[in-house]
Order: sequence, then C-alpha cells, then structure tokens
Amino acid sequence: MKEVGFMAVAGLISAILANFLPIVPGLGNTITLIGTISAVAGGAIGILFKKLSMWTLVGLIIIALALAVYSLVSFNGVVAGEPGSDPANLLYVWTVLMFLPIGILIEVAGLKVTD
Amino acid sequence: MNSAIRFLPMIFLALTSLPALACDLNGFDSGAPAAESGQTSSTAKTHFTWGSDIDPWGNSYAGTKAQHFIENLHEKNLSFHWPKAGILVPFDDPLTIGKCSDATDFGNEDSFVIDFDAPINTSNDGSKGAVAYVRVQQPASEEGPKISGTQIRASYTSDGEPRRAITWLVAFFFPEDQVLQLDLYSGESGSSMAFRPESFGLGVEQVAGQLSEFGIENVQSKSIDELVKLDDLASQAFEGIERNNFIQVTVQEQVSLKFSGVTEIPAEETSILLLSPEGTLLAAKRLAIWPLIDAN
Repeated sequence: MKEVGFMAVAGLISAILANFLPIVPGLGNTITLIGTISAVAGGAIGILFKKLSMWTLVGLIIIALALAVYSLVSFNGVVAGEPGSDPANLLYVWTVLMFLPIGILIEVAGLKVTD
Repeated sequence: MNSAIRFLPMIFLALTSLPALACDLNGFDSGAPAAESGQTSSTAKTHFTWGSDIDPWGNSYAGTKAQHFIENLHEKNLSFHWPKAGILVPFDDPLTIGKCSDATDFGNEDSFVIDFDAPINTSNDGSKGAVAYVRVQQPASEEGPKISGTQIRASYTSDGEPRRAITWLVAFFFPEDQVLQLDLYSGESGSSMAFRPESFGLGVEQVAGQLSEFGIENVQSKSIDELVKLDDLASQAFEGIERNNFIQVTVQEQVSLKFSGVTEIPAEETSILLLSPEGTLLAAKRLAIWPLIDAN
C-alpha cells in the first residue's frame, strides 16, 4: 500500500516541479501531465529496486540524478531554440527522462525511510 | 471596480497543420484612433511586427472592433504568448516567416483602452515590449446595448487544398428592454461554430427555435467531449468553462437572434469553437460575457 502512496507522492511532487520549468507557449499542461505520469511510472519502477544493496542503490541514485539534470539542461536548450513540432516532441522526451528518475528516487527513498 | 482593467484571458488557438494565416489586415486602422504598432529589433532568434488597433464598428449601434496581430519577419519560427492581446501561438505550431496571427474582439464605444505595458513573451527570446488595446469594465450607466463579441479565423487543409474558415459571435444586451441579441456567422465554406446558449441565460430549445426560422434545423445539445477532441491548447480555452449543452450550427449568412425577457446572464465567460466542414476542431477562443453582466 505504501508503494502506491509513494507513487502518488512522486506524481504530486513532479506536477509541482513541472510548473517551474521554462514556459513553453501552449504546451504547459501537456508537459505537466507527461511529467506527472512519468514520475508515477518511475515510482512503479522504483518498487523493483527496494531490495538492492546499499552500494547499488547509491550508484542508481547517482545515475538517476545525472539523468534528471542532463534532461533538464537539454530541455532548457530545446526551449531556447527554434520552435516547431519536432522540437516539441523532443521536449516531451526530455520531460519523460527528467521525471522518470525523479519518480524512482522518491519511491526508493520513501521505501527505505519507512522500512 | 468600474475603473479596474480586466483583461480577457482568452486564447487564440491555431490548431491546424497550417500554422497561421498570411497577413490579411483588412480594415486595420480604418479610423481614429491611430493604430499602435512596432517592430522588434532583429536578433539571431526573432524579428517581428506587432500591431493593436481599435476602430468604429457596426451599423446599428456604436460599437468598437479591437484588432491585434503579429507578423513573423524572421527566417526562424516564432512561438509566443501576448496575454493582453489574447494571442497565443503554440511552440509546436509556430509562425513561419511572413505569417500572421491575429485576434479580433467587439465591444462598446469605450470598451477598450490603451495599455502601454502589454509585453509579448516569446518562447526563446525573452519578453518584448508592446502596446495593446485591452477590454475594460463598462460604466453601469451607459445607454444602449452592452456589446461583447469575438471573431475566430483559422486555416486548414481539405482534400490537399489549403482553406480558410471564419466565425463570429457578437452579443448585444439591452438591459432596460431585457432583450438579448446574438449575431452569429460561421462562414460560407461549410464550417460550423459551437457555443453554449446557457452561458447567455438561454435555453437550447429557445435558440433552436429561432434558428429554425432561418432554416437551420437539427440543433442538438451536446457536451464538448461529444463534439470534438480537445488537445492541450483547446483544453486551456475551456478552463473553468462549463462543458455541457453546447450546440453546433452552420450559419452561412449572418443571423440575428433576438430573445426577450432575459433578466440574467449567468456566466462571466464562455468559449466559442470553430469547426471544419468535416467537424474537426480548428480553433477555440474564450469570450468575455462580463461586459454584458455589468448591465444588470
């Protein structure tokens, strides 16, 4: 039950975080929705990682953080570039790659703290 | 409150594969006052012209038409939000070079005032200073009808051919006579419009009855979800708007529907849809009804 709870928390936090991304005219709601769904999906993936050893988890956290930060930088780069349908699709991809690891991290951290 | 400026939180949505119209500023700056316009300094990312104007409009009543436009002068695509003019060109459907996005609204003689702080927020080149005519609250003591209306234009492709569609809805409310007049038009190309009669305090049967006098039959009440599939942008035009009991009508010659005994106009805003002859959503726009409500 608490697994589902942390998935919901991941979705909620991501929905809030998505509002702090650079404004993309006309796509704000879609990006928030994609970010939220990605984080919830990340939370579901995170359940699989709860029994990993501490060092594996540390490695996982580093990779997840790096991916999230890299995706954020890439997202900003696309927004700063020329608008169009292809760049918009890229934004969706970077949004998924940004919030999926955030969901994983929230789920794993939540389960570790409550265990 | 009367002196407070209330901006129309309306959104113009170009939802077609053709992102924008070629510039067609017919009637722009056709009367006093002079239009406000400007050109941004050219950068590596953007360069565009903007304009905002009000002109006298209407034969029967002293009305005003407010027009706003932006034309992209840069080789690179342009996506922006001009909140006070009510124009939003989405990131995934930007203006290409030479293309325009515009917005037209209707009101009373003194419905619009100039606002010297009306920035245009581009997606990739920051905010650009601009001036726009914005809608303001009407004095309650004004004589004659209260007027509020909007026009939507869009382009779309049918059978491989680029086509244009246009619609407008203008409401005139005569508070002393308790009469509400709706002027409707959805173009000659077979495109249709959809709106919600209940937002104006009217029943669907009432409106259908009047439309039948103009030979427009089979008017049915539907929810927005039954009518069209809304994407992100169109959904924004419906935030906080009732989604039930919309009617879809094709009005190839403008009709004026008059309803008596109208004492209450319940909504502050509603949304108007423009649909292609095939029934797909071309554009959606919010319409301010509060200029009519203030007359109560």
